[in-house]
Amino acid sequence: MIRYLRLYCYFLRFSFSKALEFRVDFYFRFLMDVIYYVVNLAFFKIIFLHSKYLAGWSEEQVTIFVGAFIVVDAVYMTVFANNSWSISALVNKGDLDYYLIRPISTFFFVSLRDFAANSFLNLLMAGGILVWAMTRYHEPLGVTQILLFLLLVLNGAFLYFLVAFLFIVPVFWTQSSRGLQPLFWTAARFMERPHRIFTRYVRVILLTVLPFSLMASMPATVLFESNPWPLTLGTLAVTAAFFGCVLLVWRQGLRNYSSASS
Amino acid sequence: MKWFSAMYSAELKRMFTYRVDFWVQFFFGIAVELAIAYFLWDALFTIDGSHEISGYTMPMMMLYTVFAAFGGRIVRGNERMIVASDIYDGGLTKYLLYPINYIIVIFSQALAFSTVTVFQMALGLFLLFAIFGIPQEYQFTFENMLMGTSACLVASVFYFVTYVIIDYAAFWVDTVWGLSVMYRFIAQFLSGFFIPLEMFPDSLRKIAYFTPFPYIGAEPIKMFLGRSSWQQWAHVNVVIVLWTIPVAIILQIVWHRGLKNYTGVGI
Repeated sequence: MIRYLRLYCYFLRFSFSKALEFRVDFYFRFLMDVIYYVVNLAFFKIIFLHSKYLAGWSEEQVTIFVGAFIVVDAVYMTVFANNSWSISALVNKGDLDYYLIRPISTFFFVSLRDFAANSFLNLLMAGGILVWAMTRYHEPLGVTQILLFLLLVLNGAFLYFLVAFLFIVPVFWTQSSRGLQPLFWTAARFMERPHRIFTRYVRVILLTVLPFSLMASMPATVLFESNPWPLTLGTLAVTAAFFGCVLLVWRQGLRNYSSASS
Repeated sequence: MKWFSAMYSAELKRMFTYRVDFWVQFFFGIAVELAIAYFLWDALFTIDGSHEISGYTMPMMMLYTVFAAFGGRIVRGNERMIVASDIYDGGLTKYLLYPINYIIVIFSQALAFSTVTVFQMALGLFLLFAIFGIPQEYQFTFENMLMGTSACLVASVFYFVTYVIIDYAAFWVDTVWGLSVMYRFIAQFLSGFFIPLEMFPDSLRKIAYFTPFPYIGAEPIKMFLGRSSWQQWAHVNVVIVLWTIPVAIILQIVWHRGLKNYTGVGI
């Protein structure tokens, strides 16, 4: 475990020095995310000009939800995005060979090697927006609820990565340039809406098979619930199931890996 | 003209090489967009209990979303950042050696994409109307379709020119992805592709109309919905052309300056 932590510290150091070399990209990424946050906040602000509630949530509650999915997105973009985007290229070009021969978990290396230091500032800003949204909320929030909410937001980013991974990993069999990533980017838009607006089987799907509602909407629900434990445990159970599934599919994929370069 | 049509058909062939991918992505994208919009508007109309929001009933709001989804795809084209890739990997070099205009080559590819999207829209509308029916308060006419489609195609030229200018930044900077995505967010929001501009507060709507974006989104959608006259159609197209001309001139200036900076990777 300590070996992995030490290795991750090396990844961080390397990523920050790389980010400082490409400063323009750093500014563009920062501005891009600022615009993304502003557009999302403005979208719901406009919705609430025409209604007091959205599926039972007030504007303050929806703003916290927006803050949550912004943080989920920011954590994913900072910690996982560069890695998941490059998996297809690693498989198709045969560069995965270099990771397979190392004496550590290939999954760990492939998932966490590239920390996007140029998105780190955005993560701080997203966190600031979330804190601002929470301080605006007029009802008292319990300490347990806040802690579980923060845990589930971080869990949401991890779950987002796991689902993204499941859409990319078919590249082992299809050899396509991006796996099913375009479909994932489309489906991921479900995360940006409160799960309470969805009804019947669509809501069930978004809470289980394609758990986009567990990433930000469910954490926000936990924050407002008097008994947050059942929802928290349910969310963590789904994440654990997805993690197991990803590891299984990853191993199957590696068995199918033909190593294009050798 | 001969090579223009050759490039145009080559792009069409390229798009249909991975036919299943192409159609799955298209229909899945549209289905998700419409599903999310349906549940959002349904929640809003149900909770609010009102029959109309900013002049839209629930069926008309859904129709707005349908035309925003299809019209948006016609206007935005493929957004593949081809120019930036050509600059980064040196692919631009071969075009500089041929006796053809690079920008026209790229435009022929964008036009091919928009043309296919028009046919996809026709097919999509046919399916949607066949499955869900046509809202009672909506008068479907080919005249409205013609107005909306032509306005979208004119708007696609403007969007293409602005998008390529952003790609040209690749002559100077190491990555233009962030800049390009930023432009997409702003353009789509102010165009009314996310939410009708009628729902915006007055001040924000006025600001939006100082930009070209409502003329490439909200106005063509109004035409599809039968809420515009031919006079308004002419007005919208004139505004877009007037925006396109200076941007195209800037595009030429940036191109010539950028070429001086082009290193021709791989030569």
